[in-house]
Parts: sequence; C-alpha cells; structure tokens
Amino acid sequence: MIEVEGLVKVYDTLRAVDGLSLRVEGGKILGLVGPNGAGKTTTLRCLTGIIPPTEGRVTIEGFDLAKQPVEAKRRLAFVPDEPRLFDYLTAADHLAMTARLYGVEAGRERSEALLEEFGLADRSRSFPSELSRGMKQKLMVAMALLHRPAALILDEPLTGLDPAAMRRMKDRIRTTAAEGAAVIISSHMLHLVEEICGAIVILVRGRKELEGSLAEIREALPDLAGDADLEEIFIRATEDGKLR
Amino acid sequence: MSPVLIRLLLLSIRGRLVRWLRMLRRPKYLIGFAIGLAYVGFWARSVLSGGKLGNSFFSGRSGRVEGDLAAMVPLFLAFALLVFVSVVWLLPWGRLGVPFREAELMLLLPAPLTRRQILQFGLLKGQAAIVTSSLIISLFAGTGRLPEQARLVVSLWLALTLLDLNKKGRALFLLRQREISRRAALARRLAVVLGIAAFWSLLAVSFYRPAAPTLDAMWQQRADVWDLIVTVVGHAETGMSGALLTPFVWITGLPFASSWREFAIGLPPVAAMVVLGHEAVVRSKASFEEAALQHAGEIAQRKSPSRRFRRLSARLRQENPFRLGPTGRPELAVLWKNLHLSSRRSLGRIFGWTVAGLTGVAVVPAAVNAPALVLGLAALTGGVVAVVLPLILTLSQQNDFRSDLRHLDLVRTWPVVPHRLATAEILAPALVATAAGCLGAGLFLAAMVGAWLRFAFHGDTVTHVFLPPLDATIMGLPIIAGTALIAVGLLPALASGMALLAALRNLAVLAFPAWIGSLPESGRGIQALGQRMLLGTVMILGLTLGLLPGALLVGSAILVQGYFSIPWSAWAFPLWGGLAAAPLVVEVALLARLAGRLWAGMDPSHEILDLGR
Repeated sequence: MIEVEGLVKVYDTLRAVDGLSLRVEGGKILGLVGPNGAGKTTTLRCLTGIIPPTEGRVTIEGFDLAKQPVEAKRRLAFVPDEPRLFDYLTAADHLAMTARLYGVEAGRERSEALLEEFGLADRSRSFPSELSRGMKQKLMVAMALLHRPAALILDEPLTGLDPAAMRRMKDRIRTTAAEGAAVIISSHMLHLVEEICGAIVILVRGRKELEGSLAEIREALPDLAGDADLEEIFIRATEDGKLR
Repeated sequence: MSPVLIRLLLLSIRGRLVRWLRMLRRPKYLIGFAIGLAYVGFWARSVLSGGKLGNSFFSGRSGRVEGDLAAMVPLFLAFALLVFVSVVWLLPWGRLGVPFREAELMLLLPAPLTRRQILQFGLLKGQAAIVTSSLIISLFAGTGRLPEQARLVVSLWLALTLLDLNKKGRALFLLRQREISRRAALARRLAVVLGIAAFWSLLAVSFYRPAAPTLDAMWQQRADVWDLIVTVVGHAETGMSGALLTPFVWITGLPFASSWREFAIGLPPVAAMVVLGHEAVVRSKASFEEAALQHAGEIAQRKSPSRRFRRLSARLRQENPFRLGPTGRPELAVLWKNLHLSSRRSLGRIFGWTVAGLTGVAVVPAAVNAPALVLGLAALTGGVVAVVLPLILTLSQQNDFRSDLRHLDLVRTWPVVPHRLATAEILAPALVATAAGCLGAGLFLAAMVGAWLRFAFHGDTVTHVFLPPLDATIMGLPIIAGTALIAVGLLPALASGMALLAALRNLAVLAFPAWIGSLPESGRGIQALGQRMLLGTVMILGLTLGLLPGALLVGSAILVQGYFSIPWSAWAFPLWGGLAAAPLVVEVALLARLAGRLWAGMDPSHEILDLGR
C-alpha cells in the first residue's frame, strides 16, 4: 500500500506540490495525470525518496519513507520517465546488480525470465548505448519487477515502446497489480490511464483537482456528458477555474 | 544576415547570463565566484600594470623584440602564414562543411531561412571564441596601454577571423569535392595544387634571381649569420617577392602598428580580405546541411562516455570484476558496479596477469642478460607508478558518487543503508588506486629481483642509478627482503590513505554537488575556477589533518623504540604501516558516516535535477 499525507514540495518560491494526499491499496492501479508542470514527476520523486518533501508523510507498506527508508525502499520500485542506465553495465549486469541490491533469491533465474518476457534475452550482453529507447525502457521495467515490489511507481512507462510492446507492458502492469502490488502510473497517455487505472488523480499546479474512478469523476461533474472520456474531463479540469 | 538569427544568438547569450546570475544567488556559487574573480582580477591587474607578462611582444621597437628583428617579425609571420595556408589547401582531407550542433540544425534547417543566412549564422557562432581569444592574447602580449591594447585586439580579431574563414572555406571546398563528378573534382584539385605550386615557383624565382649574387658572395666570404638574415629579408621585401607576400604582411603587420595612423592605413586591406573571405564562404555551393548533421552526430558520439564500452569483445562482456551472488550485503553490488567503470576484467585474472608480467620483468632480462638500463628503467617506472598513479587515479576516476549523481533516479531508490552506500562508493576508487600502487611497488621489486637473478645467472653485478645496490641492507635485512617488507608494511597505510582521499572527494561531491565537474554546467566560468581553488585547498587541508594522527602514532613508536633502546629492525615497518593506517581507517569510517548523513538528507532538486528553476 502507498499512502501519502499532506505532501508539499517547494522550490524557492514555487509550490510544485501543494498538500497532496492519496492512498493506493495493494492490487489497485492509480493514474496520476495533469498538464505539463503540474507536479507529477516531483510527486513521484518524493514518493520514491529521490527528493525529500518539504512537508508531508509518505509510507510504503506501513514503512515511513523518511524514518525507515531502507525498509520502505525494499518494497518499492520506480521506473523514471527517462531510462538513465549505467553506460558501463550490460543489461544482464543491471539485473544482477538489482538482484543483489534487493536480495532476490534465485535472482539469476528471475532475471533470465524477465529478459525473456521483455524480448531482451538476446540483448543481455548489450550496453545501454546499443539498446533502443524502447529496449532501455523495458530493461528499466524488468529491473523494477525483479524483486516483486509491493509498490510500483511508473513515470510515462509506455514512452518509446512499439504497439505490441505497449500491449505487453499494459498486461504486465495489470498482472503486477493482480499479484498484490499497489501501482501508480503517471502519464500523458490518457487512453492508457483510462484503460488500466481503477482510480485517477488529476493534478493541476501541484494540487489535487479531481480524484476517484472515471465513473465517480463523471458523477462529480454533472454538466459533462455521461459518457465523457478522460480526455474531456482532463481538458475541463485543467482549464483555468472551470471546475471551481 | 537575418535579424532573427542575430536575435537568436543574442538571446542564447542572454539566457546563459541570466542562468549564471540566478546561480549566483546561492551563497556557495557566490563564494566560488568571489574567489575566482579575485584571482582573475589579481592576474589581469599584474598583466595590465606591466608585470612580467606585460612586456609586449607586439609593442614593436620599445619591447622585447627590438630594432631590425622587430621590423622583420611581420615578414617572418607572413611567411609562416603562407606556408600554413599552402599546406592546408594542399592536404586533400579534413573536416567537411561548417559545424553546427544537432539542436541548431533541427531548428534552423526547417526554418524559412536561406542557406546564406544559415552559413552566416555558422560563421557568427565562431565569433565568441575568436573575440575571447583576441582579448586573452592581447592581455598576454599587449603593452597594457589602453589605445595600443585596443588596436591589438582589433588586429588579432581580424587575423583570427580570416583564419576561421580560411578553415571553413576549405572545409566547404572539400565537401563540394565529394558532391561533384570525379573528373570535375580532380580538375579543381589540380587547379589548387598548380595554383599553389605556381605561386611558390614565382616567389622563389622572384626572390632568388636578384638575391643570388649577393648571397653567394656573402656565403663565400663567410659573412655573419645576422647579416645574411638581414639581406634575405631585404630581398624578400622588395620587388616581385615583396608584392607576392604583401597580402600576408598586411594581416601579420597590423598587430604591430605603432600608431593610429599606421593602423588606419593597414586596416582597409585586411578588412577587405575579411569581407571577401566571408562572401566566398557564404556563396559556397556545397550542401553543408547533410555534412553538418553527420558532423553533429559524430561529435555527440565522440562525447558519449559509452563509446569505449561498445568496442568490448563478446568474451569481455561476460566477464565481471568478481562474482556477485543475488543475496548478501547489498552495498557490495554498488562496489561491484563501480569497479566495472575501471575494468570489466575479473580481479583474479588481473592479479594472475600482473604476477605473470612481473615475473617476466624479473626473469627475462636476467635470462637474456639485458643491459642494466632495462632493469633501471623498470625500477624507475615502478617507483613513479607506486607514488604518482594512486593519487592521480583517486582524483581523476569517477567510479563513485561523482558518476552516480547522474543516476539519481535509480541510486536514490536503492534500499541501502546510507553510510554503507557511502563506504561502497569510497572503496571503488581506493581499491583501484591501491592496486595501482601495488603494481608500481611490484615492478620496482621485480627489477631488483631481476638484478639479483642476473648476478646469479651470469655473475654480473648490475649497477644503475635507479636500482639500489644488491649488497646493501635495510636495518639488518638484505635489500630485496627489506624493500619487500617496506612495501608490505606501507600497503595498509597506502590503502587507507587512498580511502581517506576518496572519502574527502566524495564528501565534497555530496556537500557541493554542483561544484563537481562531471555535472552539466559545472566546471566552467570564473565561479568554477574559484570553487576548484577552494575545494582544492580544503582537500589538501583535510588530507594533511587526516594524515596527522597516523604520523604522530608512528613518530611516537619510533621515539619509544629509541627511548628504550630497542634495536632497529626492518620488521618494524609493518608495525609502523599498521599504526599509520589505524587512525586513517577510523577517519574513513567516520567520513563515510558523515557522507551517509549528507546523502540521506540531500535535496538534489536544484543542483542536480535542475528542478523549479
């Protein structure tokens, strides 16, 4: 479970995230959407311990990220928007290192299975510079899934993937959630969010503008058509003051 | 040139300036800037006030180059320029087209701009470096008096602009050669070669014909070399040869103008050459766009740190420094990862090859009765490597936090106790540096053993300035055993000393991430100079303080030994090494804890991730 209470992140005078609270139970997928500069990536970075929040509390499976960071991070996996891999490690090395970092029993076998699953088995000895953007993305996801995280956070997970790989990735995210992981996805691909997320949070200027399932959000906006899709909701939510 | 492009250039300069000013709002940048500015200001003041650098090269008759020689300098430089230009145009290879960055090409090529305008932009881009170079050269070589300094800057700017135009014109010529038919390219190449050959022939004939009788006579009379030079120059300056050299003398003579009048007379022809050169470049028919894209791609690849890894063999890709099991201390994975940055080869294999190599150094020269010089050089190399390489490696390698800060999105999510992560980061450079020290010491010892073996095999005593005499002893032990004992004794001190240096370096990285050169934007400008000076001072101070307790302990042990009249023995070296290392190990552990705290509490938003700016 991922729990966020009153998350605030301030850069100098800019409030990038302003009092965000949310909760994702195991087995659920939450979609985090918002316009550019809404604070999505900052929120995800705070949730994964990359940057410290100015205020607020983040817990992963009950472990406070600030007070018990090692325990919390052991149960967490993050796939950033840009796959920044180590130039000097091969794909197999990345997985071997991840297995050791998270103490994955049978790490080798699981690495091989994941490489196979993501179609990287024949590229296991390739360096990141020899992989395409999509392959790097797949490797990042394989690294994230290696230790069967209880909380999986993905920032734009489908960027650079071909349609077949997109479908496989969506299936994999669903399977991971079905296995009990709490998943947060941040994406501009609204069809992805609509398709696989049970709950949606729309962030605007660091604040939670709307939250709930697509049906709940539609109900909260009675002036919208009953079959309004997420794109329509998103546009309404992000236009200045339309919802207030 | 399109006003839009000038505006683009000005905007990018303004953007850089604004970014830089914003950076100075933070105290640590401001401090670095203040120190850097003070240093540069002090240096510039000493130059401008006629310090040792201020003695002008270009100040003509009143400066270092006096009298006749000063008058000849422009001609010598003109001749050198002629040789340079001839050679570069004769060479059929070199850079193609005008260099642009990939981002610039993506912006400019689809824009509604003429190729002339894009080429002009390419030329204008180079002006920043040309103007800076002119200012710096004039600062070094000027008189320090403002009017002369101003003339010099303008003259140098024109000369460097002409060189730049020549370079780009040639690059476009070479590019065009590839585009036209083989026959046409050959004809153009032939025309260039024949043109240059004809010019030089004409120059040689026009110089030699009138000068030959005089020079022959002087040669017969064994005239003074100086007189010969004066005569050669006198003939070169006059007649047809003088006329041929005139355009080059115009360029090289302008910086030597001693008055505004002289400068005003010399300026128009040089300015006209710049205009002509500019027109020749922007009117080039070469399709530079494709070449520029290729060039931008090549530059990006050359700058990529991954370049060297791509060349590794399939076998080496399967090798790792050591076997990393899936369970155990997670921080070992960080050390394992960082060692890859130095080498993927297995540590066991490296050790095996090193031992084999050192055995070879000891045995082969002795077996073939090689000259003493071989063993002497091996000993010298070993000594230098043992002393210098560990220091260089610890400071220059980036197999620690320095490279991991570029991977924060990954590293910060790892479930590793912060001080253990810091220890792993410190250990990689320390281990590599210690290994280098051991290699040097091993080479030194191997050379000594080689000398001993040569004596044993051939009965020759090897004497060389870099090799200690074999019959010498160290505190009662034979020289080889004594040296080996010293090396072994120093090993813990070397390892912990390198760990201390690495710890200090990593601490600095975590305390001032933006001051470290491996991050974008850092490492340039006056503030970076000041930051480096400040960090260097702190590091040296920290290292000195860190080494002090160990030195005091060793000193105390020596005093106690002396006080109780315990006989001196080489066996004391391992003890001294251990005593020197013990406090260092404690210090490294404490620094690792501190680094861990910094890592845990670090907010990389501004300095590394560039957020919220």
